[in-house]
Amino acid sequence: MSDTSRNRFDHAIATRCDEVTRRSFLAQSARALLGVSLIPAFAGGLFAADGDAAPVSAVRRPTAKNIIYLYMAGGMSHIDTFDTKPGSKTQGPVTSIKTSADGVQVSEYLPLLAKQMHHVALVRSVNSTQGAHEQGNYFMHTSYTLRGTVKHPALGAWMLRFSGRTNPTIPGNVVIQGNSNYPGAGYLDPRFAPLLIGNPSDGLQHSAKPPGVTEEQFAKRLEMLKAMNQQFQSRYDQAEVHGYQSVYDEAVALMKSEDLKAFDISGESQGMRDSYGDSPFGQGCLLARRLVEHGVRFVEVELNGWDTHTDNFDRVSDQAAILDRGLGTLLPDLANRGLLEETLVVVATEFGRTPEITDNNGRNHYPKCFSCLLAGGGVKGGQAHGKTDDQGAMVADSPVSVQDFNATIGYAAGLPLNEVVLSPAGRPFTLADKGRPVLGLFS
Amino acid sequence: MSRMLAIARLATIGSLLAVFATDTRAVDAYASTIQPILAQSCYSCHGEKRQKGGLRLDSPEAIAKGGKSGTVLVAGDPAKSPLYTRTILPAGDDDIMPAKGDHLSQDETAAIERWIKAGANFGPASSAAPAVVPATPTPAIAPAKADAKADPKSDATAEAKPDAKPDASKPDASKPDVKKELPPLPTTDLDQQSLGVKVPDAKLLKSLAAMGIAAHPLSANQALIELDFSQTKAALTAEMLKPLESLADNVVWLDFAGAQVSDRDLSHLEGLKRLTRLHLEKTEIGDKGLAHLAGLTQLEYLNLYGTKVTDAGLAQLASLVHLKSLYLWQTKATPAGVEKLSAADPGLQASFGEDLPEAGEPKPDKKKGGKKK
Repeated sequence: MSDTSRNRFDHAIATRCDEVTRRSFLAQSARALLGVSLIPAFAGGLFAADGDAAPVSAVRRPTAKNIIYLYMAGGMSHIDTFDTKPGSKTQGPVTSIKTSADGVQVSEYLPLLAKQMHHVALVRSVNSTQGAHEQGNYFMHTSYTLRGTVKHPALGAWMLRFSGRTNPTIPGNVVIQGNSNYPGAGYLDPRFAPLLIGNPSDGLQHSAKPPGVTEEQFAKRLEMLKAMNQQFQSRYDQAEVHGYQSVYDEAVALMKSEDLKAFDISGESQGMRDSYGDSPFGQGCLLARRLVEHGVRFVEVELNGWDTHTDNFDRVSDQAAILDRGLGTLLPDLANRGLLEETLVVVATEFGRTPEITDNNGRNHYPKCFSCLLAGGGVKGGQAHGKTDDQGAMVADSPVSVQDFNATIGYAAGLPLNEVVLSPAGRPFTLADKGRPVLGLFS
Repeated sequence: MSRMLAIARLATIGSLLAVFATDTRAVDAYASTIQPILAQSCYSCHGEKRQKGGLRLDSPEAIAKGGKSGTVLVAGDPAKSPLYTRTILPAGDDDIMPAKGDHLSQDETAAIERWIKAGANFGPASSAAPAVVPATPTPAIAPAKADAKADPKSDATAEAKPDAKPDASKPDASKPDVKKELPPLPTTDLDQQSLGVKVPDAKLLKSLAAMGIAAHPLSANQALIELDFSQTKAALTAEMLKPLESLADNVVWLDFAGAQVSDRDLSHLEGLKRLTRLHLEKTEIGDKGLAHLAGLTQLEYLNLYGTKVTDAGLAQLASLVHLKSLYLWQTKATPAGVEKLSAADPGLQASFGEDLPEAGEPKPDKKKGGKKK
């Protein structure tokens, strides 16, 4: 490429391409030039650069150092899982079982979790204003409604933004089995975006040097890349441009780090892997535990398939079995290691499902009331907060908005809920919008 | 701002400094500081002539009564007091007060916050009133940012840039007062304890960071910290441990999980009188090491899973009467060994681990793993 055309090319990138194009361009460059594709799909930066890892204002003592956030994508039926309505006509064929928490019952689909409810605070009065998947998912993750003009950050990005990461050579924010619309870092610096992992059993893909490339050759490639980028960087002296350089630097640091083994669950015994269940979600929970042990602050694992418009009861029982085994193993495993006290485990979903059972034996979307849960991380276990009415149709006591729920998570993590951060367009936003934490959930 | 007003404001700030420099002394903060701010900035809409939103702020009774949308003052809790929260919204926010004219200065909002936090007394503060907590954030202390330059402003500027459209002709709004801190949630024990504790030396923390030891602040003024040795990859050296002695006032959480720490190394912990949480799991620590912990009487959490400790070692911990959580999974310790400790410390819960669910029932279902609707 001649100098002039290169200049024009740079210029085009900096001025005309939209965000996504620029990002994917950079991601592609990394792949092509370095032979690695460690950069997340979103190419949003692996983790905070050194200069930004520190909290600007640690407001208070966190009750939780880490968060493991389990997301039930599609809308988990509250009546068939954590908010059963024995004797009601809305219940269908599902029966309730006793749990290790006095007076708290859950669905028969959750036998392992029933034994762990002394660790769990159910929140049965969550309510959302968003009844469609994309909107509901976005709202739950960001506390703001989906709009065209701005992308808001998800919790993991906030956590890095405010608390930094604990392990300098490993990402601080990891999402396992996430969907491609994951809000990521939103308007925050791309360095806070999550590292996305597809199949937890595969670990971190493409994180090794390409075969046949020697250390020396690799160093040379890096040097060449730096030289090529230098001009561009000096011309477009912007945080984002530097952000990508730090992505490369950190990717290389991670490739050489022994912390890579945190991503490799084959380091676990077969018995341990079996306990978590032979599902991507279960193995994702196991990977989440490993990552937290290695200093990753925020790990999200997604379980898709809860959108049970038809054949609700068979499908919810299948889904619940996966959740039951993954979470029902994760909780005691964390507890054994003394980590549950310091790790907040969250189960969230975008909405519940209708009390009425449709002609297709299904349930439709229902944001008016649904259940989420918190466990560990300073939360008082063995309780159910909030109530719905006899049909599971309306919040009857102590409503908790999506923002309140996220504020509660932020509170546990010691994040400054009230700190206003401006989006690039100058709009003021906070971590959980105007949500207030539910302080009664903490011990 | 007219010069008169500027002078008036200076005077206000002057009196402010006088009030808060002396913190617990019985002074009438309302009359000397708060009322003048309200008179200058609020009375024109919330006073005798006009009562926007049904609210008057020109007498203690009126303030207590609130307006159409409810109370404006919750004594002790600035976060719940619109009298404070509405004044610190970012410029341009629809809800900011005063809605017209100059916004309150940072000193003025801080004065209101402190006054509310101290109990919002309308007369002279009684000597029993809680001490005013200094809310000034000090420079961040975590290692990566140890230099004092790392202030919120520069960070905010960096924050605002990434997504900015390159062709935005407007100067970006991310100049100084981009980020205003809204009221913090109720302060914790640790915040109280941290009063009067010196913030750790940034240089020292930086040198620790260079050795792989991270420091994280845990109190509002950043004086109390967690030190994290768990990411160190080699045997600990005296150089790494010695600084614990000069940080004795600061370290409340300490993490050696999986680190190459020896029994003898724990002698460096003996001075940590504030230590409440200690991770020693997955290390070579044995009974000899525990002997060094006997003086850590504030300890609430002690993780010893996967170590060589036995009941004999636990016997040395009888002095830890505040201990609540003791993790002993994968050790030779037994419930009998813990029983002796529980006698002196009934709140103690020891965990020996439980078996994880066996594979099999209920059956996992692979097919559904990535299913879409």
